[in-house]
Amino acid sequence: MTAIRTERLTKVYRNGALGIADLDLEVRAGEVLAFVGPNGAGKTTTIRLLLDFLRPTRGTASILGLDTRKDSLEVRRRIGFLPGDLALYGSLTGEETLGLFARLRGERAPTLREELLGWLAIPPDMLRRKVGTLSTGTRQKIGLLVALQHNPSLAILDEPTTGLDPLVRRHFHDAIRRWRTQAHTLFLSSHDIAEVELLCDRVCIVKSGRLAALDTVAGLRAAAPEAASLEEAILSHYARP
Amino acid sequence: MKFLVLFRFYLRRHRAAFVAASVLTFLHHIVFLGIFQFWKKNTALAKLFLSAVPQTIKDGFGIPMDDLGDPLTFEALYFLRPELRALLLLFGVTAGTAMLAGEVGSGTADLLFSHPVRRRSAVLATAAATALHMIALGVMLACGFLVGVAIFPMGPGEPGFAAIVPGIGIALLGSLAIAYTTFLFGAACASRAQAVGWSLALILVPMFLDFIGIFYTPISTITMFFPEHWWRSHRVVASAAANPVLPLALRLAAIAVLSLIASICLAERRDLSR
Repeated sequence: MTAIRTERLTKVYRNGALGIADLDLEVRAGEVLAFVGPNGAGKTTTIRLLLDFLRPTRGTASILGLDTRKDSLEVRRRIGFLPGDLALYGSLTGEETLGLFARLRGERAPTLREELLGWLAIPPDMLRRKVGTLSTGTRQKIGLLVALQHNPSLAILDEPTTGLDPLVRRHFHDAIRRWRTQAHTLFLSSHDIAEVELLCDRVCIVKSGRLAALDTVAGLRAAAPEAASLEEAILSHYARP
Repeated sequence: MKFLVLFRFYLRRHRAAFVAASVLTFLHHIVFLGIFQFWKKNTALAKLFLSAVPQTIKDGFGIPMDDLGDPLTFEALYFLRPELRALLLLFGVTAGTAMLAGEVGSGTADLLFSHPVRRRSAVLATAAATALHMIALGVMLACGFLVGVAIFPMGPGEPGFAAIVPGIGIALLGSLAIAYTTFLFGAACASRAQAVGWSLALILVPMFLDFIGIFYTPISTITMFFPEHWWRSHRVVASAAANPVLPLALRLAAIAVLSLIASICLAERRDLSR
């Protein structure tokens, strides 16, 4: 089964800037796909198109068999999302934040909240503090809790560990791996190649708004035998004209 | 269900602005009733004060301003006080521009709309919360007035008192209509600062300029809450005479509803990006 499919997905902004061009992509159900590329390559644009935040110039996208435009509400009901530039309501406490977003899904006691609190090592008293007073790492953890607390079958995480310290990053990876044991699908946009190597089955490289490569981690390394690491193999795609 | 969740959330979100507006609204009436009583008891001082006020400003109020202790003058000053209207309008602008433009600009829209929330639900929930806040401000307006009357004894037989209840209603409805007009900017702009900028440029500034009598635009016409203002604008003299409070209320209600519908359409069509 296909979790995400895009066909000729294109976004040209009003100012003429190209977001993404003719993206044909298929993410299989149950896999972890890394979505990598240099800054401005079109990663966030693609994610925003999938979530119906942006309207495509042409092309289509579907998630879990549902059209992302026509069935946008149902798509968003079934997935979890962590934005790259996470912003929470600073005047709410952690508990209130989780409660607000759970109620917006019509849930009072989300199935995975308690487990996630343990996996992410969030002390209960931390949730009683206003989000605006928390550290970046704790805010990001709350963001992941919001994204996964209802145990979605597909999660889209946009650069979830950027700017986090190694310990918080480890908590993140641990939580994602445990959530993944239920054969859920993960679409992970990341600049951290070590993270990609650790978590992902396949890697999609985009560059200048176009698909540059799509292969397994092993396949990418095999295609660049001169590269000493996956990072070098991926960077070789960035460097190509 | 989701509408109620958002409605409660937005009510809470503007709590600080609402409390500030409520306190100022409440005190405003008491202060001005006190001033009115002061002028009433010190007519000679009032006349001296009025003689120092430029005629253009006096003309701007649209009524004879020979005696500040005169109830008719009080009625005009009392309800047409620009700071009272500005207070109500700024509260409306605060709520209206926070809707969508505020969410997009601050980045919270990403998390909010990654949940199964329709954009129109967010607009309507904000609109309902703003309306409820305005009603509560109306209650504060009335409470402030009653307390002021108790402190500075004024009989209900004073001329002009009959206009107070519809006056409060029209002031609030007018403020709500303007607030919903700012929703248009909230729905279309990429950031709250931009939405506030457009609101100020296209609504509040023309309204102020119109108020002091040096500028007139169709947009500022909608900010004219009172028949006196219509009369003052000289362009709708007949309409002022023929349109007492109810038709004015209907016009303001129509502005509010149309603005809300247009805001929903804009919100549904736009890209959610900064």
